[in-house]
Amino acid sequence: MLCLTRQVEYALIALEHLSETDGGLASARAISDAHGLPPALMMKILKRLQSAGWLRSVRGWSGGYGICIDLREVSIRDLIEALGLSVEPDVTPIGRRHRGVQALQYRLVGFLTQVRVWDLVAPGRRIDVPADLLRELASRRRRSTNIEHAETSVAMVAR
Amino acid sequence: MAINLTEAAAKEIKDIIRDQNLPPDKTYLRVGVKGGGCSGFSYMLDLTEEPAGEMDEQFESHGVKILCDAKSNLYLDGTEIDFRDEVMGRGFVFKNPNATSTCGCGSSFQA
Repeated sequence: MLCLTRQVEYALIALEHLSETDGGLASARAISDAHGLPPALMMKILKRLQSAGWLRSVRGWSGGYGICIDLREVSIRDLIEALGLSVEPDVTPIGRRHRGVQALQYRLVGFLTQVRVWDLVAPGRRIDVPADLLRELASRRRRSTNIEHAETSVAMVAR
Repeated sequence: MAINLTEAAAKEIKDIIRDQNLPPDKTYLRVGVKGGGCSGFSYMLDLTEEPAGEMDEQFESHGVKILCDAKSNLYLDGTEIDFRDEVMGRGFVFKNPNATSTCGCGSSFQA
């Protein structure tokens, strides 16, 4: 089955960090320290993204890595491939013969191709009150109102 | 100043009212804050048929009647409530000019 590796996770964290950083530059050490991540792996990830043309590197005291592409134009699939990883599903020989497994893998890869990196790392992205929560509250209110009406009707009939 | 909804937020609320068979002319969106969360305060939304109480401020935005208690209104005055349906989630976003910071999970803010 397809799964997101640690490299992809940490790459997203790094891209979010760089998107929120004033001046847009941060060192591998600064990013790994800020998020409690292993510095050596973070360095490897940032170098891979630099080789893939996603990041630029600036030397010097206030240097570091910075984003040099439009993250609205690239998908999670693109990120996975920029890290040198395969997005092709790791399906077993038995799974390859199973239509349901193939369909699921196809959907997962399609989803990763569709989601823009910017949607996951843009600063300030948040939901304060999920729509499902408001819907559930309204549903409970309707059910308790219906019960009250039903109880009132039963009481009137009993009289 | 008041509490306003974007068109998208008003549409979603009207859809919920309709889907839940609540009376549209007697249903209010109650907006509030409560203490808690990693940053101090959390936003609250509810749908209610109870009309405005003595301590409530009342607004209307894009056809949705909004109620807010006076205490919450101190923190929410001037807020615009938006609706987003994205990968990060589907729900309401409070653009609050009084919030000085918001936690990363989005569920609470400081004022």
